[in-house]
Amino acid sequence: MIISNTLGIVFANAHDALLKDMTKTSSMGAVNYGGRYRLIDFALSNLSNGGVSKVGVITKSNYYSLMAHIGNGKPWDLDRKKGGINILPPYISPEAQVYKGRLEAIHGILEYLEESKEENVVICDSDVVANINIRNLLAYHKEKNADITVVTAYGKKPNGQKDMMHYDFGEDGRIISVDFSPAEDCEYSLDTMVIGRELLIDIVKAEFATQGVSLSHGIFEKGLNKYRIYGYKHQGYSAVIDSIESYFNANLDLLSKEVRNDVFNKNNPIYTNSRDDMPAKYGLKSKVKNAIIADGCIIEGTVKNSVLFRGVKVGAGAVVENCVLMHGAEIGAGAKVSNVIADNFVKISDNKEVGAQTGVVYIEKNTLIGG
Amino acid sequence: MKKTECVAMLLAGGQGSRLGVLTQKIAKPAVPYGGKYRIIDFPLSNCANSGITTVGILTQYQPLELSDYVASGKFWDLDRRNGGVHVLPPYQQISGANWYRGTANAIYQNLNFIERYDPEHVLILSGDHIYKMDYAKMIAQHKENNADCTISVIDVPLEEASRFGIINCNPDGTIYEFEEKPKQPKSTLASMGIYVFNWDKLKKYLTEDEANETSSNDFGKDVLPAMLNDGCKMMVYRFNDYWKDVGTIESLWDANLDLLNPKIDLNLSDPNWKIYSGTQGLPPQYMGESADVENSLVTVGCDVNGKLDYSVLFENVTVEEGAVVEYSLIMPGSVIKKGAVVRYAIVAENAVVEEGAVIGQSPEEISNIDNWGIAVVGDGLTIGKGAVITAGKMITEDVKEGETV
Repeated sequence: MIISNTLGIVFANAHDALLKDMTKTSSMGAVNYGGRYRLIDFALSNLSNGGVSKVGVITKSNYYSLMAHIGNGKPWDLDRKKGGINILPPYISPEAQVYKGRLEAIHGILEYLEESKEENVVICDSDVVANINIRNLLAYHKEKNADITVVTAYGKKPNGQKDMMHYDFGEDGRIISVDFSPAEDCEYSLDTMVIGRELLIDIVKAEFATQGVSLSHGIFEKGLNKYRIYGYKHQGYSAVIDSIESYFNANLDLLSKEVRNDVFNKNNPIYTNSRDDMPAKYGLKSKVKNAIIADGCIIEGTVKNSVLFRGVKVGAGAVVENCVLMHGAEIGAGAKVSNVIADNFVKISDNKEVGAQTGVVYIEKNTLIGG
Repeated sequence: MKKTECVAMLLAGGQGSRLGVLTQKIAKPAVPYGGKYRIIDFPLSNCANSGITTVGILTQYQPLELSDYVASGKFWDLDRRNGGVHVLPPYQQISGANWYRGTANAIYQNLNFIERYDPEHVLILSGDHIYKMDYAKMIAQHKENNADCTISVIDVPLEEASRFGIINCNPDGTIYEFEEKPKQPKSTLASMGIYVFNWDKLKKYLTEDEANETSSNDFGKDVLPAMLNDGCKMMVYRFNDYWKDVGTIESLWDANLDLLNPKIDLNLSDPNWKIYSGTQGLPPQYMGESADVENSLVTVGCDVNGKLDYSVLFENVTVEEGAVVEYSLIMPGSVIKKGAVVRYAIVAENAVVEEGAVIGQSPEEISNIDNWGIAVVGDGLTIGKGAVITAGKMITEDVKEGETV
């Protein structure tokens, strides 16, 4: 039985600037990941697997590719008569405007929130790779009789977002303090939280009326003692994408079986839009080791420690090492490519050498390298 | 119901008994093909790509998995407000309940389905072949010729012609004779089992055929010859691209390995003519540190640490370290454990080949080539540690550790 009393709100553009080369013409949610996904697939699949059947996706700019990807929400089972998925662009209501922060964004969709009947709202960004069990999160939220529950991960706090929070927990999991400074060994935010729908509306209205600065200000600075705010510790793998490096590493993390089994949990699959490519084709003398390969690839060369998206071609004698090659990238015969992120449809000519000894080189969409 | 120009009727009821254990629990059109497809994906994708959006699928034998798979037709973009796909099993009528007695009878029993759309043309298809074909071109030729019936034909090698229904026609393409599996074929044009009829003619001849008690109610044997005798205008439509019947173990195996043949043009992800399938929700494949893969097709959910050559792995297949898979098809969800060897074999869905087991043999290993064949392991079976399955065996129950079959 799936009767959900929860609404999902996903921020598609949050933290775009941290991947500014990659999001020049798209949004964080539309960034490619793991061979066949886009980052927003995690938020949408987690919500869907958690029984949430009404989801609003807040967009700001460059949202064509995101809209094309989401379509009517079918892959996530969100093509519903009741609820379903809604893209919520700016200018959705007469007084709306392009929002600056989360507070303005949510203020812009107050009508949507007020019309909804659900008791709780799960708000998430689309910059996190994690298979978060929303059902357990909601159960925890209820069990603690919380007003707000934030999802956290333990470890060194990612340093890309300058206002990322980490929390100190009291004995029963209630959050007693919030800190924005860099930290090691802490419980930091995975940009996902549950909040009562009416409470969210109240906080947003109050903050807006007093020209408040941000949603987190309204919740965590003013409300820490006023509201029952709890932390839900996510146990499995997680990666916050806040730089080209963290993007690269989060892709290569999938080469670990443990990570794959956790992220692509068979009981809570991550869904995406199907492209209907034929299976990957390995040619004569292909040599592929420790690699994630998507359908539609044609591989005639060597590929090691890499993630290849759908429709990538690797020519005969080419060597690809420590790379993330996105949709339709083509590596010419005899080319050598290492430590590279090649965006969609990058072409590297025959016998070219591209890459770095250390670190990672990002090559923009549609770039042709060599002849 | 809005008027529809063409309704397609897909004959998907056959058992496909020559596929043995592979069609024990599923109808032939539901048999997996090419890593992520099922045979029925071909006629359905062809329909969608040809702009034919009203399709009746006639099922009879083991329809559950097929009906589940077809569902609303959304994978092929055939979930339509008008038309769309309809699974049509035999049903009970006032006059009693009848199984489909033959291809013609199956359509006859569903005349009321076609009637609802009042089409100009009816396209008859089967669920037995791998091919990419634009049916719209065939229908356009049919209209241009003012034909009553057009039959799609393909040129086959003379030595194979006696396995087919052969069609003899004049240079302008008008048919003057049908020969069912002739010993001495006069032509090499084989019927592909794809027919376009004018709806009024089809209705007339199916009704007459039904009234004829001596008829076997088959298109090839009864309806088409009857039309020819009456002087109906019957034409061939020549098809020149890849087309393969997958009715036997060997032809199914062959048609899969054809996808690896660079000389054969069978691109299933051509953006202009995609073959769609129902796969979803699986992560991409992983090639491990000890993987050694050449000349193979591998798809989503696979985890490979062994050696692959000239093979097709379907969804969610695991090949462990030290295992060898050559000239074989491993269907969805099967596991080939450490050190097992699979050669010239088809392993059906969700089977487990335990460590060190050996399945199939290459033709060179067999002294008398007449005894050679593709080994087949049925779905859900376990082949025990170190067990040996010799060439051409069809395994229908678990094989114990160390046993030789």
